[in-house]
Amino acid sequence: MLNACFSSINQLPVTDQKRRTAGENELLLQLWQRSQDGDSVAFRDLADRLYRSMFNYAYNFTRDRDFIKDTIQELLIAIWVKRRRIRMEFVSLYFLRSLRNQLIQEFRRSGNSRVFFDVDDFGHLSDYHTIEGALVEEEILADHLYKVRSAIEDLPRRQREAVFLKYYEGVDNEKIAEIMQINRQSVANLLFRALTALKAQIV
Amino acid sequence: MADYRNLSPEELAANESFRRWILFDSPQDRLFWKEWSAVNPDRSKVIESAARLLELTEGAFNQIGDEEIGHELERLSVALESSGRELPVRSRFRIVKWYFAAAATFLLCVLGWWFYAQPEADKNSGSPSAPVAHQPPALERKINGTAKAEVVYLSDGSAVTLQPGSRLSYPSAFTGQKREVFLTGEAFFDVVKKPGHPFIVYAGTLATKVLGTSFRVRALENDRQVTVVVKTGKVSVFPISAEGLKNGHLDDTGLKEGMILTPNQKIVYNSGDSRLTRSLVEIPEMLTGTATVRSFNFRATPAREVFAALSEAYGVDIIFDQEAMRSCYLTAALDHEPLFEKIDLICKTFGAEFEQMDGTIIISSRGCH
Repeated sequence: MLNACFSSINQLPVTDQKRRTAGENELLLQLWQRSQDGDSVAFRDLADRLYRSMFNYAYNFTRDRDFIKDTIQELLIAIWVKRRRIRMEFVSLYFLRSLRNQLIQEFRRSGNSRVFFDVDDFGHLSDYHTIEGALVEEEILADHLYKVRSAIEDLPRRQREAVFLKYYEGVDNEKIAEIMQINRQSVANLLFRALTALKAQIV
Repeated sequence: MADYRNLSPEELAANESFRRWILFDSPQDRLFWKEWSAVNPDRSKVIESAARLLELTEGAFNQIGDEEIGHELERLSVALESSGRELPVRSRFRIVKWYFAAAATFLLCVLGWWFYAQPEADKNSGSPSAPVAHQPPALERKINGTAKAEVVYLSDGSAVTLQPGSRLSYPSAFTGQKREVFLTGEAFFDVVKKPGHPFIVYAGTLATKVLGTSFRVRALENDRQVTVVVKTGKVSVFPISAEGLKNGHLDDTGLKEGMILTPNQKIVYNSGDSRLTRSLVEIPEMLTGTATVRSFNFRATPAREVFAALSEAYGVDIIFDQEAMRSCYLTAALDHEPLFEKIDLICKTFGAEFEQMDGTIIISSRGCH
């Protein structure tokens, strides 16, 4: 009985549960390949590693937690069912992009598509605008977190999405553009505006 | 390396290696950035800002806890098992939910036409006066109208202890390959082992399949939860699909797979959200039938052996980091405490913490010195 549990230690995030699992693409790809061969344990492991990101990404679109959960379940099952026909290069990006499409479909179906198409009136800012010292250092982290959280909540939806992909997921601008189906310049603009707003509210 | 000197905090925060250091504390990247900071002391503010930006977005965007994710993954597991049917989850779960109100009645309806005559009477009865008279020849129906538990003996010799107000439908003689009974309420089953003839209890929207064991099922009529507790042996538990309920094809609804329960574990199935939750019972008992009475008198015993002894005696998996606890030794006499107190005392000694997850005990320790 103990032998069985030793072998599962590696899979259980026992010591560091709060932190997202380091989603190294290679490992995820291995899990995906095993999933494609019909290994449902590998697929469950994959889903486990990606779940937090997916949920948090979807949260940029709606606050309806049950809706998010149902949508993710549907997506995961759809991917599982169609696994043999699916090709992916960057696993987490594939799942996020699919989730986005699934959300759009669900919103359309429920006549709630407005959320998706809120237009940010962005002009054409340079890719190289940056914000020095976006965050002050004196205050304690918890206070920061509270402020940043509400500052992020207040961002227009698409800006929030871009910040999520860039800093929470670590996706580069080119791939963000791909996922959000906008051009690279627009991504830079969204990020610039978002960081400007964050800075304004935090300092 | 010179490149990094020109990076702003938000550019640095997007750098892969920097992210691995801050978010996942990867040793290689930590080494690199520590060295880099030493060489570029004037950039320390940029590093701090970038690290803070990452930590704050990490915190600000996180909207879900581990437990909630765990539940969703269990739900996924259940769905994957029946994914051959390619049903959309949303509607499927809604159907299950909708059917639950009528589930108990419905299960019985499947068995016999006699219900058709008085469905209302039955739906509202935990009442002992529900009709026993209209029996189809093959099925017996026992309703415990007394204030005490009653024992029902089945044709195979299995005994069912039926709690007051509960009812059980069962064939007067088991003929087919499967031994199937239907429960509303609460009962303790002591099942006679018969290889090749699985014993299946249907209760609400949950089925429990066993091969010779004793266990308790609780599916109260107005309760959305079904609870199964295992005393001896092994059972597997699985939700009944909506189609299974609808068509009355209870025999082939994914009975091959399900969540396995071992002694001292219990499962709660909440039909409201179609969720199977596995945990340990409140006071785990030592397994009977272990040849020797174990002693829990430990003297400078390595953690590994302590947990192995407990694990074997109670039939409960205990998960811990063997490497981290390599230098943990226990001297204590723990013969009289219940399992959780034993674990608690051990953890206090080791400066560790424990939690219960999915029917196992997980020990978190930073090691002993």
